[in-house]
Amino acid sequence: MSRRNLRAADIRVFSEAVRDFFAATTSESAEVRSAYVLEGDEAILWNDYNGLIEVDGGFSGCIAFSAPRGLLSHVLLRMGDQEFSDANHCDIVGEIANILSGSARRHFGEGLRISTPTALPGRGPCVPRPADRTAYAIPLRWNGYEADLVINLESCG
Amino acid sequence: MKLLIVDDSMVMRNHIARLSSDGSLPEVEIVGLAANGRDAVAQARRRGPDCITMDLTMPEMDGEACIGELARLLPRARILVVSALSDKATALRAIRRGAHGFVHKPFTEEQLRQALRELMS
Amino acid sequence: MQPKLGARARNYRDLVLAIALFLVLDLGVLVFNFYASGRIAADTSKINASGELRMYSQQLTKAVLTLAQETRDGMPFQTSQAQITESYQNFSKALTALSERQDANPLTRLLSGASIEQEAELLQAVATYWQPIDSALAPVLHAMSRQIPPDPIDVEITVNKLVARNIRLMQLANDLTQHLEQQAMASTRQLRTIQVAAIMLALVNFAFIILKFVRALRQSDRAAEAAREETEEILDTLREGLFLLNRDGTIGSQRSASLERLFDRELRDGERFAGVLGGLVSAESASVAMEYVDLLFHDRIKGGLLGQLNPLDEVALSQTAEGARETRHLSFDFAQVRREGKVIALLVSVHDISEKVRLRRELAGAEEQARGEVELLLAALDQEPALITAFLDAAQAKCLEMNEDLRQVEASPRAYAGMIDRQYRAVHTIKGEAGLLGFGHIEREAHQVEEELSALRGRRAVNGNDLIPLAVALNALRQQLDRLREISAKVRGYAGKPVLDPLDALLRQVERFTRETARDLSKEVEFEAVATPLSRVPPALSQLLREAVPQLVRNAVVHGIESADERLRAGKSAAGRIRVVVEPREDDLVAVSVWDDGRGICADTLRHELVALGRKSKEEVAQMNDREVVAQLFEPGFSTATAVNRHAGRGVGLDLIRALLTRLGASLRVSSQPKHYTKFTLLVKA
Repeated sequence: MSRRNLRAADIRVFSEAVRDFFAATTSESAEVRSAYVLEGDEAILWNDYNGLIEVDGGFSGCIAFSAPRGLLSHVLLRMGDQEFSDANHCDIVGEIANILSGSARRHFGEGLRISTPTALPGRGPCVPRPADRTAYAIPLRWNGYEADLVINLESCG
Repeated sequence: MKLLIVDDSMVMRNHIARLSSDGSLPEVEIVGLAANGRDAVAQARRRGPDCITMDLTMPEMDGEACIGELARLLPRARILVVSALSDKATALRAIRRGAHGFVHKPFTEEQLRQALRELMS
Repeated sequence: MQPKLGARARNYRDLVLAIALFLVLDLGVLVFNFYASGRIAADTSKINASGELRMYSQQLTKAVLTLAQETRDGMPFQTSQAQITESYQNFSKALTALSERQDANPLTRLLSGASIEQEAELLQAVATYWQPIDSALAPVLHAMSRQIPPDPIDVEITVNKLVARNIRLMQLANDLTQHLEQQAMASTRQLRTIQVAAIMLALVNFAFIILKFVRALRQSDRAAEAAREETEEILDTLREGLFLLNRDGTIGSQRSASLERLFDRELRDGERFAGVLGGLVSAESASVAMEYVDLLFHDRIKGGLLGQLNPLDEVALSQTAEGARETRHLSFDFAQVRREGKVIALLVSVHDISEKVRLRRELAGAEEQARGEVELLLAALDQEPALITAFLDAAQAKCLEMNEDLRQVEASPRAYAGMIDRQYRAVHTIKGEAGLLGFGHIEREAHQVEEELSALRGRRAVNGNDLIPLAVALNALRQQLDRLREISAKVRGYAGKPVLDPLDALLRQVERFTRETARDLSKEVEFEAVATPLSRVPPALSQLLREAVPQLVRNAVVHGIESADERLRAGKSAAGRIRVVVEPREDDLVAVSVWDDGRGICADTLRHELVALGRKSKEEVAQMNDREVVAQLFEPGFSTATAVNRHAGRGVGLDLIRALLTRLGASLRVSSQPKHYTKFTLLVKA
């Protein structure tokens, strides 16, 4: 009955974290294009590479970053990497998931249990989500590509 | 200054390597890249680095255990923890094992270079 | 700092010079003493020699007289001979000595020049007077040295000379002695004066040194005192807590006064930080903090590289015994103090950040309050299910559209602006309908969305990040709508209430809405609804009654109906009257009219406002007829309410109605008489 929804500030923490990653790592900011709510039973992950953390405790749910291969290849290039292997592309989304995990810890405090960040390649099996839990999608544009940050969290308090 | 870079993400390893070998830190010479704690210890034994950047969350011996091992092996080496982890107690414990400083991920190029400079001074 | 340093150097230079002068003076007095004692000795020996001259002259005369007697008597003269030789030699020696000591040193000459001249003259006189005696005596002495009796004639000459000159010679010698004695006395006096003067000078100099030294000492004492006072003053007035944390874990004695206030307790010297912290924060925080502090004391740790891990960055204080107070939050900052590479202490600064934390909490608190409104929702549920369903269908469809709009929007300022306008209209309708149905919480959520949109409208450059609050507010609105649907379904399941005539139900909602609006604005209003029964309520009429009529009624209450005072002054009843009439017209039309007995629409007042709002120039409004002026009410963005509240002033109401009417193919007529009434008539197909 009294479950509290995420506040805009809670969501901003993650969009800022991703923006920071791009700004710091590639010195070109990612631009948040919009923000909307995923309808009904839409799945969370839907792009070439997906970084994911799951949380439990004060809040439960997951935070995911998913990006097309081209975007990640470009990031690799910016970081001076010449090898565009699956593993390297996975590494980037994994690193972003890692940073999202740090942000979650900082923002929501030590009470949160956060899973090890996982990096999943491919559009294959999607992570389902409970239909009654709001998932915010934040499409981000970087260098002409579009990636998505999905925040699917709900307070358990 | 011989530098060993330890991070389970290959991209992050290469990123740090590139940032510290593009001429902005002329005294740095990268002697090794390790993807996990065990590999880091093995490389440290062979190459005797002066500085080590260290991720904390890694498979096969995590950063904390690895720092303890490295500090024992190379008491003169300086260790910089580079991590997105913000569970402060864990980070402090890792540093107590023998590290010298902490840099938060994500970092800008200048933040990392500045931290490395301070580490070597 | 620079001038102070200069003054100090000058002080030192003066002192060094004074001490050097003192030494030179003392040394001078010492050297002069040597000279003076030498001079006094010389003077004494001169006086003696001068006395001897007198004595030996007398002795010589006596001996020569004896010799003359003995020569005359033919007696042996060994005795007198020895005496003569001795006297003569002694006299000559004294005389020589006196002349030799004549040209002493230049200093003496300088000190007693005239007296020395006189001394030389007197000596010369003695010598001159002595010369003939010396000559006369020469043969006698010569004979005696050869052990032969001297020639009596020589003796006689000598005797004569001696007798004749002795008195005078003695007189001269006496004069010389006296002069020498006087001279000695004078020079002794002189020397004493000089010595006294020099010693006085040395003493003055010494006093100067002492004075200077004491002053410098006091000055430096004062400076040290001032510096100490300054430090204390700084420590006393600092708002932040500041202290040195020593290696042994104790809090240093130099600390800011505010520290005790921040910690809300007294601090003793040498108290341990761990103990103090343990009493302030939770055991867990304290233990992590002490670990951090301990790490900072490791010389290898670079403090600058550890700031991101500070666990006392923001820490809540545990409640004290009195408990009731709000939890305070402190922020500690640590900086390593190193000496020769070793960390000897930590400089700790403490800030009270309770206010910052409280503000953050308050934001969260406002949301808590909103949650309680769900209870109100239940109370408001004695609504007509058909109306709720219609409202929910429309509102949820709009929300879905809005969300889809957010999803699809292009990242360009134009696209953002277009979307914001579309959403504004949509949410305004939801808000109006929710208000009409008495769903205060939904109305508030819709208002929140409207607020977010307003904020975005006012912004020059909107970026995607700015849309996050909008998505969140929209989601909150959707969740309220979902909850309403859930509950209404449940309620419908239980209730077997008879359903009212739909037109009647719609008019009741309008009535309820009118009363609420009037109450919110503290206006007295009498509402009357007149409806001719209809065989069915056409959808267009239903929509008019749900969306357009409430806006018109709202406008009537906000803009039309005057305050009670104003009405009484105008000879009207205190309560304003609003009448809504639904009646069929010919040509298959239904008319809905909203009438009020308020201040009416005054074309001239509107002209004024159009100019004041900058929408039209003076010339333009002058050329418009009254009809055209009134038509401006239906242009987007025109509003005449002064304060923004949820009832009016957003400038959307009438342009929204116009858009709705266009969509429904309905028409609108306005008739009004200033100070008497306004009537809006809507015509729609039956």
